[in-house]
Parts: sequence; C-alpha cells; structure tokens
Amino acid sequence: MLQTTYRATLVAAAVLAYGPAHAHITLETQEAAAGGYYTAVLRVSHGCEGSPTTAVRVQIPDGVMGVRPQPKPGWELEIVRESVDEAADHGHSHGVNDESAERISEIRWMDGSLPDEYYDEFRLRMLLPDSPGKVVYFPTVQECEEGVHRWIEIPEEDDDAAEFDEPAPGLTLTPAD
Amino acid sequence: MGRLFPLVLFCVVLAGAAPPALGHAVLLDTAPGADARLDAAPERIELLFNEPVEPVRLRILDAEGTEVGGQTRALGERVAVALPEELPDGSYIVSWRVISADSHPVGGSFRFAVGAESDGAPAPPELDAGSEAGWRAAALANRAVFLFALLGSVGGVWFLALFRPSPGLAEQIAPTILGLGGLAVLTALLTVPAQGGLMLGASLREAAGAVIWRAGFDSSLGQAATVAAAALVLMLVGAALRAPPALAVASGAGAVALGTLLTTGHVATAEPRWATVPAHGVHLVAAAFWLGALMPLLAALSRHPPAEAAMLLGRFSRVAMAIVALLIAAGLVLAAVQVAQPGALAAQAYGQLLVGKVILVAALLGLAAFNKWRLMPDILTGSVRARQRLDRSIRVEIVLVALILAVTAALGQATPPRTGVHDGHAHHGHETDPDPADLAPRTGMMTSGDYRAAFEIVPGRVGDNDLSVMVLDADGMPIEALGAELRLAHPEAGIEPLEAALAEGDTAGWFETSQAHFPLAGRWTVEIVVLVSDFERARFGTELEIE
Repeated sequence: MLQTTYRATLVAAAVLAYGPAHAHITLETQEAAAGGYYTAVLRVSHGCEGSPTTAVRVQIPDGVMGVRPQPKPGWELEIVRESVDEAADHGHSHGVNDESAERISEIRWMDGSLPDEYYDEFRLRMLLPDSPGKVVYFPTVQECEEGVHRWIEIPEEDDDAAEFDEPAPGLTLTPAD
Repeated sequence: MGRLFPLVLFCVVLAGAAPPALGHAVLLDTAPGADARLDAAPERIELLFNEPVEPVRLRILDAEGTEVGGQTRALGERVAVALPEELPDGSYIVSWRVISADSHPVGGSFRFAVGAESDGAPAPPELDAGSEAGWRAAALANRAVFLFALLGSVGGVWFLALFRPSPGLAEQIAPTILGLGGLAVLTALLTVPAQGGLMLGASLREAAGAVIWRAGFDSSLGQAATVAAAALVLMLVGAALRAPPALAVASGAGAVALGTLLTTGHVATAEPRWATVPAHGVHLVAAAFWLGALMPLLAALSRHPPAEAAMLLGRFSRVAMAIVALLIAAGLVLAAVQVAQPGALAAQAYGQLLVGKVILVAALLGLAAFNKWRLMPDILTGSVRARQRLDRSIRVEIVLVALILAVTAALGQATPPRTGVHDGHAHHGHETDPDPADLAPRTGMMTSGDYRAAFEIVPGRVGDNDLSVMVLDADGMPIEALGAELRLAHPEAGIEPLEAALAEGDTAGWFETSQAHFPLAGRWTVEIVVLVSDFERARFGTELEIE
C-alpha cells in the first residue's frame, strides 16, 4: 500500500515537472514521420506580459503542403497565399496546392481575445515533406492588445536552441515507418 | 528491479526539469524610470518584474564607471537597492541581471540622471588622469612580470621533462623554476585587482576595498588569470616531485596555464579564429620552450664537467631552429591579422609597439644565430673562453626576452587597427585630448546571413552619438525593414545591454538615432537587431573601442 502511494507520488512529481505551462508558443507534438500527414497543435499559454492575445499568425515553411487550418469560434481565420513566382523569389521550393500555381505561406487567426490567464490551442493539418532528420520551423507571431511576441528565432548549425529567448516552434521529421 | 524504479524516475524527473526555459522574467518598470532626470538624489533604486526573480548582479555606475555601493534586496517580483549616501549630480547607469526560477538569466541596463545631466557633449570624461595612468602602469608591470614568470616556469618544467638533465643539474635548476612558478601564480592572482582597478578607474581609497576584486573577477582576463594560477599550482606540485610521471602531469598543467592566454584579449577575438588561435598557441609554446631552456642551459654551463652542458646545448641547438621558425611564422600570422593596413603602423601606438617588438626579436634572433654558429663549435671542443662568452650571451638573451615581453604586455593594452572600424584619426597616446575636428566618424559593415548592415556612428566617442544604419540584402539593395533596435553592452565593465529603439529614416532600410550613448570608455559590443519582416529577424553585431 505504502509502496503504491510512494510510486504514485513519484509519477505525479514527474508529470508535474514536465507539465507546467510554457511561456513560449510550442507544438504539442514535436516529432512526426516525414512525408506523412500531421496535425500541428500550437499551444498558447501566455499573452504578452499580461495582455490578451488577439492574433496568432503562423508562417508555413518550405516543403509543407496541403495545409488546412481549423477554424475557432471567436477568431477570424485567414489563409494567405503567395504565387509560386513569389515563392521562388523568397527561395522557397514549389509546393503546389490544389490546381493553382500558388502555395499557402501563412495562416492567421485574427480578431480574437485570449486572456493571459487562459490557455488555448490552434490547429492545422498538413502534409510534411519527405526529409527525414530535418527540423522544420514554424515562425509564429503572437499579437496582443498591447505588444507583440515574435516566436521566430531559428537556430543556425552550431547554435543552442535552448539559449534563445523567442524560439520558433520546431518539428523534427523522423524516418517514415 | 522494483528498487530501481524510484531511482530511474528520479533521474527522469531531473532530466526533464532541466532547461529549456519555461519563461523569462521581464522588466516591467523601474524607479527612477529609464532616462529620467531627477531633481533630488533617489534613496533607492527599484526594479519591478513580471514574476519573482533573484538578482544575480546589480550595479550602479556613475559617469566615470565607478561603482556606487548599495545593498540589494529581492522581494518576490521587486528588486530594490538602498543607496547609502546621497548621489552627487550626474548621470548614472543601472546594470542589472536577474534569474527567475527554472529560467535563463535576463539582463539589461538603463540610465538616469540627478540634477543637471553630466556633460553629454562628445568629450572624454574627466577621469582622474593620475589614477588612470597609475592603474595602467600597475597592470602593465604586473602583466609583463606574469608573462616572463609564466613562460619561464612552464618552459623550465618542459625542459626538465624533455631533456632529462642529470639529478645534480636538476637539483640546481629546480629552485629557479619553482621560484618563477610561484611568481607566476602571484602575478596571475594580482591580475584580478589590477584589471578591476583599471576598468573602474578606481581611486586609491577604493583600491583597498573588495570592489576592484569583484570587477576584475567579472572580466574575462581576471577569470583566465585565476584558472592559470590554479593550473600553475598543480604544475609546481608536479615539478617539485620530480618523478617522470609527476613531470608529465606538470607539463600538461603548464600547457593549460599557457592555454588561458588564448581565451581573452585582442588576439583571442581576432578572426579568422581557425588561423589565429592555433597561431597564438604555437607562438606561446615556442616562446615558453625557448625562454624556459635559457636558464637551465645557463646553469648547465657553469657546472663541471662540461660534458653534460655540451650535450644539452647540442640537443637544444638542434631543436631551436625549428622552434624559432615556428615562433616567427606564428608571429607573422598574428601580426597580419591584427594590423589591417600596413600604412596604419606608423601612426598608432599599437603599430609603434609592434615595430619595437619586431626589432627586439630580430636582435634576439641575431644573438641566437651567433651562439649557434660561432660559439657552439668551440663549446663542443671544450673551450673555456667560448663557455664564458656563451654564458654572457645567454644572459643578454634573457634580458632581451624580458624586454620583448614587456612590449607584449603594452601591446595587450593598446588598440589593434583591425578592431571593427575605419578610424580616421591619428592618436598620440593618452596625454593629449584629440581635437574633435580631427576625428572621423566610425563606420563599418556587418553581416548576418543574407543581409548586410552599413552603419555610421558620429563622433564615435564617449557621450551621446548619432548612429545611422542602412540594411541591405545580398545584392546590396536596401530592404523595407519593419523596425530596428540598438543594444550597447560593455561586458568587461559588466554593463548589461543598454537598449534604444531606432527611428525609421527617410528611405527604405534606413534607421537612425541621436541617442546612442556610450557612458564609458572601453570596448563596447554594438548589436543591431532588425525586424526584416513579420517572421524574420536579422541580428548584426560588432565591437568598438570607444575613447
């Protein structure tokens, strides 16, 4: 009996150590199979120093295709596309959505209000590129009533991502099963 | 198995509870407010954060960079410093660094002024010229002695380990090596207050206090010197034991002590690092080897019978050629990196010192060549006169090396031409104030990824400066950046980044401010963070010597 309680306490402690809300915007699942479908869940647990979040904008990285965002009540959902020519200018590879020569470059949830004390998730489905081992970053801009947080820092080769103040949410592509 | 489970779980919890950071403390407000101008001196400084924090370091510096004392207390989200005595009129910098639970440290600085603001016009601060010069001289002398004692003792230990002199000879030279090593430890430790006093321009009264030790220990030079002292102590223990394994450990410890010289200073920060760091290392090893052998060889010469002296000299002589070649080659690489344009050599103090060092080294090499080709053959035949002449010659060599090291220490204090910018002025030491009309603005080009930033700082001296920056893409065309921020930090004085927003200029990609303020002289890191687009930031950085 005592043994079980002891173990339960330890497990609870472990969960709590992992559990606390991160002030950063991060992806709930940070690893996924390359070339497969994936639901990105962006977790927003803080506003901007107390100010409620009013918009979440995610930039879609190279090679990610078939992006479908999930609408949220209370938020205006906007899909920003760029033509393939524009994408080429920015150095993006051709990722074609539907039949048009365009790719989705950004997803925006706008005109909402998420108070600082609350937590919410913003979801989008996508098809990941077939590049096992690569880390894909989703730079995210969090706009608040007062202030902006730009989770857009992407580490170079020898940088330590843990040192960054505002890292972009990252996803590691694992070899497909 | 059941017993292991809690342990495994404990380790897992530990591993998981480690960083990445959960959140960062943010400074919400300060009292006095940033850039505030107060009529009366404040009784306390307060900083308010958005979560409970622990102060790591909080400094209040006046316009001369002297620290104003005060007791720091943390109460949850507030950090307060009670100021003991009324602050005289002038400008002050509050440099703070805090850490919140499970989080990265966060730091910053802000300024405030009491009464009339200190003269913000671009003129050098009224440093107590006497105490500043005094600290420079003290730091210089200490550094010169340190270099001599370090190279001599480490090289001496290597001599013992590699050349295996007879026990009689080893007995004779050991005390000298140990004595030099002890001197090296002492001067290494003295580097801390010397550097601290120099950085703060401290008065003599403050010299007695702990503040210069703290300041010195915060500097990279002070920390490197402390590590060197520790390594040297280990080396001396091994050398005293004299057994071959102990000597091997001592040799390694000596190498570590030498290695600390690679971590800080002008040479350590020179690019490209893949060339300068190995070149510097080779230079030091060769110099230590040479100096370290001179005194044992001198001792060997005075002993009877001369057979051992002849053998040691012969062996050393064979190796010396390679050592000299390496020394010169490495020195040339370093000089080439530090001196951007040969034309600058004559005008600046750095150039003059470098030329002086080269002349002394040439004299040393000439003497060494004379020893090798004129005297050595006679030594080997047992000529007494040749031994006397060689004895004298080696003593002169030792003196020359001491002079060379003194010049090297002076070079460490001077500014190499390569530091970041194209300086237009000719600077004649620190005694005369340069006429502001002589000074050209500081300009430079920084690179970050695909972007470049061209900047100009006028006049590039202590006080308020105009800074303008133009952000360009890889083709050299200005880009439509959304915003830019300026951060100025002085790591050696322990000043956390002072932030200033840059206003948009008239054309795309152009940002400017008239509020780029350097409160103190010294080496400042300038960081410009440009918001290139909503989703992309470019960070540019450089270092400037400000006087």
